[in-house]
Amino acid sequence: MFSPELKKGGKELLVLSLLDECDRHGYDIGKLIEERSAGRLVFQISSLYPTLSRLENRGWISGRWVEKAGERRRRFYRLTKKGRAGLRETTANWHEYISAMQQVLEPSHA
Amino acid sequence: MPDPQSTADGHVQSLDWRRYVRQHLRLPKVTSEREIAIVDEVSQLLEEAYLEARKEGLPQAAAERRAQQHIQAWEELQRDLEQSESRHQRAVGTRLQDRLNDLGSSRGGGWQALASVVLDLRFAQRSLRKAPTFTLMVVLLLALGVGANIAILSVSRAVLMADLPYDDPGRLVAIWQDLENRDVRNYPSAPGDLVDYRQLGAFEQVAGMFSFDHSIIGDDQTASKLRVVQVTTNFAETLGFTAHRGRMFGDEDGAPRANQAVTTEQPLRAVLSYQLWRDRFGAREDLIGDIVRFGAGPAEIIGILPRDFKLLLNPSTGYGESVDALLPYRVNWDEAPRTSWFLATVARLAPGVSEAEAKTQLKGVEAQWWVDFPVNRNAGTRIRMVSLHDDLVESIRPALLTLSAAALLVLLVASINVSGIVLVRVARRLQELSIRSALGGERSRLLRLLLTESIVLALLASIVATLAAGFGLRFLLERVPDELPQLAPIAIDGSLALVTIMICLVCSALATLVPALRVTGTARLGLLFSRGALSANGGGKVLSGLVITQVALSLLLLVGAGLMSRSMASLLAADLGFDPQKTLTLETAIPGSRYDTPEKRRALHAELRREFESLPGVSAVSSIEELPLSGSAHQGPYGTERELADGDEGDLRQATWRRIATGYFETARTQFLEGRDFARADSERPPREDPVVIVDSVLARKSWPDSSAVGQKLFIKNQTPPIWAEVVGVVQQQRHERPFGDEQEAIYFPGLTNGTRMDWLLRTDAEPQQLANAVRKKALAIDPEITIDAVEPFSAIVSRSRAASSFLTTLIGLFSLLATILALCGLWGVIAQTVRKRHRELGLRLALGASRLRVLVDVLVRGLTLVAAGLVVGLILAVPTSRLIESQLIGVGRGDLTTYFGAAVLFLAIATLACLGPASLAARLDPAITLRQDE
Repeated sequence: MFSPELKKGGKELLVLSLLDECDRHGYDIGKLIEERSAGRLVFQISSLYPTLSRLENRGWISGRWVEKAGERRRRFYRLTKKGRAGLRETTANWHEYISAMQQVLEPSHA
Repeated sequence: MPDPQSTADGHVQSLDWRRYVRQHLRLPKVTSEREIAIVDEVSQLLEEAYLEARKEGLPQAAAERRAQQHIQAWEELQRDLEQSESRHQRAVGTRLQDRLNDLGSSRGGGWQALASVVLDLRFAQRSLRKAPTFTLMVVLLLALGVGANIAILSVSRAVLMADLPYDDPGRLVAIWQDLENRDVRNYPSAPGDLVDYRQLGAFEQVAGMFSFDHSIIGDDQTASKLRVVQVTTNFAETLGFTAHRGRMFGDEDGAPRANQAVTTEQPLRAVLSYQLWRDRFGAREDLIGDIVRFGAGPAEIIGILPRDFKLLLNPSTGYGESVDALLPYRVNWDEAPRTSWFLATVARLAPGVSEAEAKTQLKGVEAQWWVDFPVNRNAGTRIRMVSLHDDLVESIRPALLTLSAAALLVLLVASINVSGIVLVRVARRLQELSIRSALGGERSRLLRLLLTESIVLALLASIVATLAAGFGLRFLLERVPDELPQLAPIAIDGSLALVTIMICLVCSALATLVPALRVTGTARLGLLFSRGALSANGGGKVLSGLVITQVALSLLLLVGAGLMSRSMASLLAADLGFDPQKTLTLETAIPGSRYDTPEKRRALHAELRREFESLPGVSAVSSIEELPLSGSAHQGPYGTERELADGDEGDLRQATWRRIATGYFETARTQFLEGRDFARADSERPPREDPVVIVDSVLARKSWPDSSAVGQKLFIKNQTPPIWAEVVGVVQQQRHERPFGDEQEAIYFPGLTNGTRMDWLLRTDAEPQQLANAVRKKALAIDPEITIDAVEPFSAIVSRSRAASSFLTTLIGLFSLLATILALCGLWGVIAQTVRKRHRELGLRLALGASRLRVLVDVLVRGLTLVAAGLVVGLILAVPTSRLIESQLIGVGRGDLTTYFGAAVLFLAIATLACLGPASLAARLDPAITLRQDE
């Protein structure tokens, strides 16, 4: 059985995979989700922030305030070692989920 | 809608996003620190969204709206965040729990059980963390009880139950003689007696020994003291050990020599201790066969004792554990003397012979002696055989047993206390438990929760206790008196500790289970929210019972401590017959091979005395064969014409014999009751020529109750043939053997020229220890081969003689203090609980006009009633229990009423103080508040 948290896991997966590329601040993550999904996934602070907070509390990502010259003060996040392992596991789960869904939706013609 | 803020110049500024978030997001369940961080970041994100919208060209109001649309359901955000935060707070436990739950549901069985145990443990941990004072208190109380027990029991077991470090130690016995008619115990045997023992079939070997001090002289011509034991040649076979190097004695070493003189051609033969061999001779392998210089002459080293060899005999007989060298006792067994008793005797039972059988055979010998030898018949000689181990622990056993019993009492009081505390806690959590139970929480699960809690407590306590026991043991061993034989290194006994901890676990579990069963069993029966449930179930009675028991047990210990303190006080106040203050004592031994005539020894003695007297700050100097309270004395029979009137020696009494120098009593500050001190002429006369003696008041009273002792003649069997000596003086009794109790009468002889060793007393004006070096220097300047030992204040010898009593008094005092504190804690808890339970009633009474004093007295009376009941039970129990310490008491009877009632009154006084706390709380209750509670 898949975890009921799969949906929540989807959001987490997106955040983790974006942070896998490089360190980013929170708003940047939200914008990237919107851009890369060509606006099909709408980013909302009300769901992004709890996701970030949950991942940080779990120790998968770690955030720190950065103040660059001429820029606004922002909180940047970085994937931790534990987070990288978590990302691999979550990705695998997700793929399995998708393939299971596909098998149901497009049954193989045996 | 938020208001845009206007600046002074009229330019419209963006919304204060932080304020905006604060207005909408409420996080009561999150720590304020986290709340600030969350508000900080969320407002920053909103501001970012706003700025982006502005960048896209939206007007301010529209940009603000765009940002605000990011968070519409604030409650949902609040819930999400609170969930994530609370998970974080218990992250570690949860993840372990999640893992176990997963394992439990996928694999079942053991994992499931483990998961539920871990869950219980986590509940327990959380509930205990919520009540840190409670946890700390219980843990400390239990730890004290358990720790004291582990320490004391470890010592007792190591001493009372360990095997002697000899081969097949179960077959070793000591043989002593008790002289019934002379009140003498543990008397040694005569060589002739050993011949009789050996003829019995009961023994495989019978060995005799006697100890004396010797000296060994090094290459630098300085001498050091040697503790030498002269033994029969079968000593090693009897005890069952072999030499570490070389050999032990053989029959040829014990053969008497025609010529007694010790020369290089005819040296002594010695076996050295491992320690002496290592420290003095660098563990030289070729020492065997070498000749070394003893004070008594040259000695050939034939062997080295095993490294851990100890001489373990009854310490009261003056044999210490350490031995520096063994010499063979040379005797012709066919003509072994029958009338000088000096051999401590150890025997090995023949295989298969029981102690009872051996005793029967010895009875036969005894009966034969009574027929053959008037001396034995007259003295009332009884041969007493006892296992070597029992002999060794004879003097320490009662003390250890008393202490073990006291420690057990403390553990008992501590356990009862803990059960009281857990009970009160259960009562307080009754509401929670009732709700859980009513909401369908399984009864077994609730019980398990409580049980886990108390077991966690007990385990914590055990950990602390084991550590505490380590410290306790160190404390004990540092203060332990010399009588404690060290059979084996004393350490915390692991298995004993485990047993004690198990007892503690079981007690705690029971203490929780019994009340908890009652509570959970009735929780569903409509008693749901009643605070009185505990008392409705008799829990109140249980609590009271626990307090009464604690008070009673504590009183037992308090009475014990009281008796011991009074005994200690009378010990300290006891008249020793001399004044140990401001007196330096030391021991000298001179090489007998060089000072081989009485004249030479007398001259040296006089020179030493002159030199000591010349030291600044020394006001008087004298010497004695063996100082009071410092070792075994010579003793023997004496009598007057009256005792000898019937021509039989049956009525002779036994006295301690001491040889002293002139001025001894004056230096020791022992009072002369009659007559005169010895004059120099008395010591210089040959011993058989007009012998004179000084006796103590006890002897004078026993011998001549109606007339003066001075001028009377005393028959003394100190040499053959016996002498008739004239009494020239009577002095007050000096304590020779022990500072209390029965003491044998004493006879003092003039002159100290027989032996090579003697003890000195130097009365000083200042702190005696300051003179130690000067004294040593003076003596060595006269002859470097003089050994000087035991330079110490006389008071140190006296306090050593009281060490066992003060050790026991201190420990029992500590235990009773502990128990009293525990009992008072318990009392406090119960009274506080009663007050809490009666809040409404007391409030009501105050509201109805009862005076506060009345309420105070009421609560106080309830507490003191419990105490009084406990005290009565305690006093009744104390009467038989005091038998345990009876043998340790000095100058006070075990039924001493003053002590009993003193202890009870003391306890009552402290208990009143303990009750005043909660009672005054009750009196200060605000009726308005108490009545509104529980509505």
